[in-house]
This record gives sequence, structure tokens and C-alpha cells, in this order.
Amino acid sequence: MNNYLTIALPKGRLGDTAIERFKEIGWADSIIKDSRKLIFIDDLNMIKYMLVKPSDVITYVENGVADIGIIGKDSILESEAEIYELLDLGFGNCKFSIAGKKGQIIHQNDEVLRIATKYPVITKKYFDLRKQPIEIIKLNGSVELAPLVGLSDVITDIVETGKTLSANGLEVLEDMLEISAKLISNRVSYRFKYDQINTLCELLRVDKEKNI
Amino acid sequence: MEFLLMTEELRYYKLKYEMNRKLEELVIKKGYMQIEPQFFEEYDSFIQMNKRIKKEGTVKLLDSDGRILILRPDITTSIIKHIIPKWENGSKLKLFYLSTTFSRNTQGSIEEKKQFGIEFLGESSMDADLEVIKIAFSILKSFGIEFIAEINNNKFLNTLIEECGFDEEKSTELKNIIYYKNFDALNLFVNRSNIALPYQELVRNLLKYQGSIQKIKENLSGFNLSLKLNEAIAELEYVSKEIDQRYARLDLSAISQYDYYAGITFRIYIQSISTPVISGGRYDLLTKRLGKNIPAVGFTLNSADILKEVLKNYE
Repeated sequence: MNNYLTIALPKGRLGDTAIERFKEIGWADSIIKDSRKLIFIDDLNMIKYMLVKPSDVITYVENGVADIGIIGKDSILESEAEIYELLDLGFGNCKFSIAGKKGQIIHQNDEVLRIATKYPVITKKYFDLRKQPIEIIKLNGSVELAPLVGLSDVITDIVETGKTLSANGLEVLEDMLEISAKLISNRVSYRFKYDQINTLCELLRVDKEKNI
Repeated sequence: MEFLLMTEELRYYKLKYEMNRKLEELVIKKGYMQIEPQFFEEYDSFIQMNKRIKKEGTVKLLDSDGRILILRPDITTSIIKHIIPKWENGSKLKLFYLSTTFSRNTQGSIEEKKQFGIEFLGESSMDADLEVIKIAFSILKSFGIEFIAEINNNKFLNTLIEECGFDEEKSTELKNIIYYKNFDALNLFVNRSNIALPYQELVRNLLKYQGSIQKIKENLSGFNLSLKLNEAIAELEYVSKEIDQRYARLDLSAISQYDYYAGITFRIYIQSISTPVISGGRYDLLTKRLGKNIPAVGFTLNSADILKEVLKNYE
């Protein structure tokens, strides 16, 4: 029943670039841009595409509802999921950084640093390594607001252009990680659909070289 | 499981009972005897032995004298600890168990897992490895379940790490990269590390040594392998020839989260379940670390997964 390769793509900019890349290798012809449909089926090549919320891609892949998916490294690190990280796709590059008001000190030693973030796992790991005690304030969006209204001392988030930061009088205080888009696979699917997955992986790898 | 009707619930328990009996009968026929493992483990020694395991995932308890204990996250460790003080050199022991393990999931609540497993102690020859794999295969076949077995010889990677001269930190980093099959990170790792020239490409291509034994040999053909590395391949070849090849995929980069495996290891997958239903292998390193050199092979099977498949086929 389940010979279709199911691919979870994130809605939004990352997914749009991913679809472009898929089209370049001749795969995503069945996807109609700007449609409201969430599932596209390519019966000829036996592929099913699902468009899901970026933060849910990992969940779909880890549970095997999708065999493979495309997602930013930030989501992988945050979820600590048991998946395979097969390929760096070479797009969606940005930094994961600590930001705050100009001059804010981030090495406070004994004093607790208050950090607002959408990424508590990554943040905790990073500051644990430095032995800096922190208090995490979990937010779901507009983290830039937190230091302005006194909810936190700093924030940690992905930074693409830094425009949102500077518009709000904040700046990057330190870069923590390099982020880019990854092709991930479910561990069981990797075995059962190895040939299909490996073929796609190689095609995308070749296509990535072309795009550099 | 929740049931609306008592009859449904009883039917479920009847099937479960029959499945457990069938599992037991299968291994008793091969000379295995039942053992009941202990509930508690010492936290410090467990973590020390399994460096890459997530500490948050264990269920901790506090003793009256301040010792930290954990509820057994796996059964093998607890059986071996129990056996070691009474072990007589030269003896052979075949054991099986049907009990529960405990872990903490990401939401922080405690999860119970029913596990069935066998351990073959005191036999260092490959015959033991083969017997254990064959029993795993025959269990799944007897329930009519389709599966793929991923088989590895850990000796290959461990020897490679030794010959490259990686320290503990480097080796943990490499194992983590391989555990996630992260090709790009592996590439970076090779470029960043000081690896002797003949080994650079061998390590860089680590994720490609998989498929059939022919395929692996083909991908390794350009390299001048040491005696020990060749031995590891030969062992894997021996196993692959003796088992049903339709179900086997060999993979020299299929490593376990547990560091105590040293030799043939395997994980068996079925399509509808996103974690391995059976995992096992040779773990002589564990017995050594626990205080006595006892050759040991075994596997654990997640019996809830098998039951799910049995129920599906029944309906």
C-alpha cells in the first residue's frame, strides 16, 4: 500500500526554495504554486508531497507519516529527534544568535541572565556549556519585543538580515550557530525506501553544486 | 489500551497472553531459561558506561543515604550485574526475560515498555551471533511480519577509530555524526581533524559502506585495509551468508546509542513502526566493564509492537 515516497515540505520561504530545487531536478511538477491544497500526488513517480507548518516537519518525519522532509537546522537541534540528517541543501543560510540592547553584557557569571526565545533546548545547551546561569522565557513569536519591555535581558533567535533587530534598536551580541536547510529522513523509511531516498539525495546534491 | 466492551478487553489480553506464550516456547525450544531482572541501577555507573545516552531520559530515584538510582532503562545491564558474581569460567548460559523498562519521554512523564529478550552468555564464536539473529528472524516470521534487518560489525568502526588515533572526544563526535548519517558534517570532520593520509578517504566515505556484502567490498576495494579491518568485514560476510539474505541490509555505519556493543549488531525494522522492533548484538565490552570478561550476545524485542501487528492481522 505504501510504496509512495512521502515528502514533508515546510510552508513559507524555505519550502518555496525547496520546491524550486525539486522542480530543477524534475520532481515537483505536481505541485501547483499558490494553491491552497496541502497534499500533491505525483502518481507517475509515486511521490506524495505534504505542505506543513515548518515546526511540524520533524514531527511528521520522526513518526514516519512522512518518509523525508526539508527543514532548517534550528528545528532539528531544538527537537533532538531520532532522524537521519542526510544532506545540507545549501540554502536558507542564516545565523542563530544572541541579541540585545547595545552594550548588554552576556557574561554575567553568577547573576542569572534572562533570555527570551522560541528555542529553549538550544539555548539551555549553549549556556550550560559556558556555566552561565540563565532563566528561559519561552515565547512563540516577536521575541524582539522582550528586551524592549523588560521581559528579558537578551534574546536568542535566527537572524537572517538583522533588519527586524535594528528596527527595534537591538543588535547581535554573539553568533551561536550556523543554520541552513537540511534534507532529513525517517530511520525506518531509510531502510524500506533506501533506493528512492538515495536517488533523491544524489540528485539534490548535484543540483546544490550547480546553485553555488 | 482502552476498551469499550469487556469482551474486547478480554480478547486483547487473550491474544497478548498467547503471543507471550509463543515467544517463550520459541526460545525454550532452543534451550533458553527465564530470568527476572532487578528494578534498580546505580545512576553514576550507568551514565559512565553509556556516555551518549540522554541523561534526562532516565527515571531517577533517591535512596535514603543519598545515592541516586534509576529505574532500569535496559534489562541487559541489570542481568549481567546479577550474573557476574556467580559466573564460573567456561560455562555457557542461555537466558530469556519478559519484563518492563522505564524511561522519561520529552514531556517528562514516565514511559513503561514491555520487553522480551534473550542473552547467550559464554560463547565467543560466531555461532552464538548467528543463533541469536536466526531466532530473531524466526520470531518475526512465525508471526507473519515483514521486516528488514540492518546488520553491522561494530569492530570495523571501533578499529578504525583506534587506528586513526582519535581521543575520547573525537570519537564521540564522529559517532554522533555517523548516528545521524550526516554526510556534510562527516566531510567537515575529516577536513578539520588531523587524520593520516591513507585514512582520510576511508573515513570520509564511511556512510557508503552499506547494502549487500558485494556492494560493501566494492566500495572498499580502493583502500588498503589493515588485518583487523579486513577481519571485521570477513565476520560480517560470514553472518550474511548464513542468514536469509532477503531480509538483511548490511551497514557499517549503523551504530547504536549504547557504546557497549563490540562485534556484530543488528536492528530490525517493520514498516509501520518508527523505532526498531528488535535490536541486539554482541556486547562483550559491557561484561568486561562490569567486571568480568564474559562473551555475550543477545537482543531485545518490543513486545507491544509485535502485539500491534498481531492484532492488525487478526482483524
